[in-house]
Amino acid sequence: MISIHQLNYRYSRKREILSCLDLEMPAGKIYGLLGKNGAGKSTLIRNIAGMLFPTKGNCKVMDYEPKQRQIDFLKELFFIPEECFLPNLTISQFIDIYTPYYPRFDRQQYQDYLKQFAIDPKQHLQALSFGQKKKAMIGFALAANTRLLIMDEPTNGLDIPSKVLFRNMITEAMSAERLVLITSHQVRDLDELITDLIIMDHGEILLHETKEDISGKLLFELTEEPSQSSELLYEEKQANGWAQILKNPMGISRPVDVELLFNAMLSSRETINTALSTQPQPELI
Amino acid sequence: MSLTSIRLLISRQFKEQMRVYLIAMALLIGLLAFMFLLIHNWRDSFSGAVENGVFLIGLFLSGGLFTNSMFREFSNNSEGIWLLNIPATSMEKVVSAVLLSTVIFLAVYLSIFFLVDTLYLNLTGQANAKGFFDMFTNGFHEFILLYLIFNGLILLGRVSFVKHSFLKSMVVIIAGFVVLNTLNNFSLEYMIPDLSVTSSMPLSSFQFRQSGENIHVQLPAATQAMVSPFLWTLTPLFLWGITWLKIKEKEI
Repeated sequence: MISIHQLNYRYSRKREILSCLDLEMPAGKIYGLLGKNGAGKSTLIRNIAGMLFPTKGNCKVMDYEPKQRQIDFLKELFFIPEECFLPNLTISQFIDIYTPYYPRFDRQQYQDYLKQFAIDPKQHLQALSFGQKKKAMIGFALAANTRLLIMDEPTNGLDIPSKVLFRNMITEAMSAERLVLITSHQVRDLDELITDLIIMDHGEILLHETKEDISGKLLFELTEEPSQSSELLYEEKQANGWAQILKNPMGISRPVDVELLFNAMLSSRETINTALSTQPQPELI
Repeated sequence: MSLTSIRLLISRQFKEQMRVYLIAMALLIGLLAFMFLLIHNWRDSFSGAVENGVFLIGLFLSGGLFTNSMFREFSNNSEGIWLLNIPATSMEKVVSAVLLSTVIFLAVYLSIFFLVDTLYLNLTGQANAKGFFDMFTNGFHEFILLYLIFNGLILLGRVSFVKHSFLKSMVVIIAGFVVLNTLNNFSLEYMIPDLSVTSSMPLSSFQFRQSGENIHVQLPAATQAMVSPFLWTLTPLFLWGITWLKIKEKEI
């Protein structure tokens, strides 16, 4: 669905934000785009959403060139920026004005989301708290049933129960035709949600793998003592012990510690990538 | 370009800004009434077509501010993203803004002006003696066409300047007018150095003094007929066209 080839983006001659990015992102998946502040995440998603235009290279989304902002492309895209704007309307007025733009908008679905988030449809959008505004917008975006949903730091401002609800709603709303791209620097928020992981730093893609592949090739462990294993790729001290990433030659399937992997990619990129490029042995029964 | 989309965009603008527009209408009525009160109290100090003056001040002030409220979303990143993401073409967005700030605005402004003017004339007992405001005498209606150019300039300023767009647009308009006028005078002096030009209007006419007499020179009727459509029709179209290109190329 998203095909990016040699994408460059610079704000000025001296300030290059993205350099020679290549990405293929098929539909039916939830992508987590992770990176530190200033890594280039927001610039990349704005290029995908057609808000910024590539300086060099190509970006194609559903066979459209996002920078053209064609009407059929916009009907299939919902983009929630980090600080989302909501107009000066009640929720009911908001629905009446904006639903005609999205052909597959499901009013009942939106009502259900509002109910789950405990937001009264009669409320004025401007009267909602930051977190409630975000929830109202996320619900609208999901109910719009666009093929591409991009969310920049969606969990910022959400309380813990809402984060859980958010993850469940995204999972339930997924389909084979849909692609969800979420950026975050709060890695734990996306841990259970995403199917594919993209890690960025300094405008480059450090890692782009499915979580399934990562879990087959790397082993994540937590021990009380530092590891002496020859398979050790990365370890760091945590409050409850030593978190380690080891080679996984037997292909043992364990949950991926996204935060640990993120830290490992920033400090030991080559080691992790080498391990990920090696084929594991099939798991012994 | 879809008419449904334009209708939806206009309706969106109205519904989102309804409260502001109602307050602005009340303010406009107050402003016009205040100006009429002012000219009535100091009627001996004002002479000539004072109603025309009130009409023009109200038109350009309220029209400029109203036009500047179109695309106000671009002064804030998240609102700008919201506007650009609305599934409508850039052309539809510009056309809806132009229709709102010209056709719909003029209809509302003229209605309000005639209402206040009628009230003023009746309350001051001048209705029978003076007659109601007629904008079709002495080519006064050309100011409506001038308003279209002004509208194009303000819309273009709105999409070009992120902050304080109205003030910046006004500075550019005034500076542009001064530069154009100076260049016009300079070229007149260069072409006809012996004449003492007393006043001039770019693309229109000039006046010079000879043997104690003011002589007014204007383009021949046929040339004027060629210049007028360009000035009154093509200039706003050109400005709206640039606004459309600016929105099309807008990056946030």
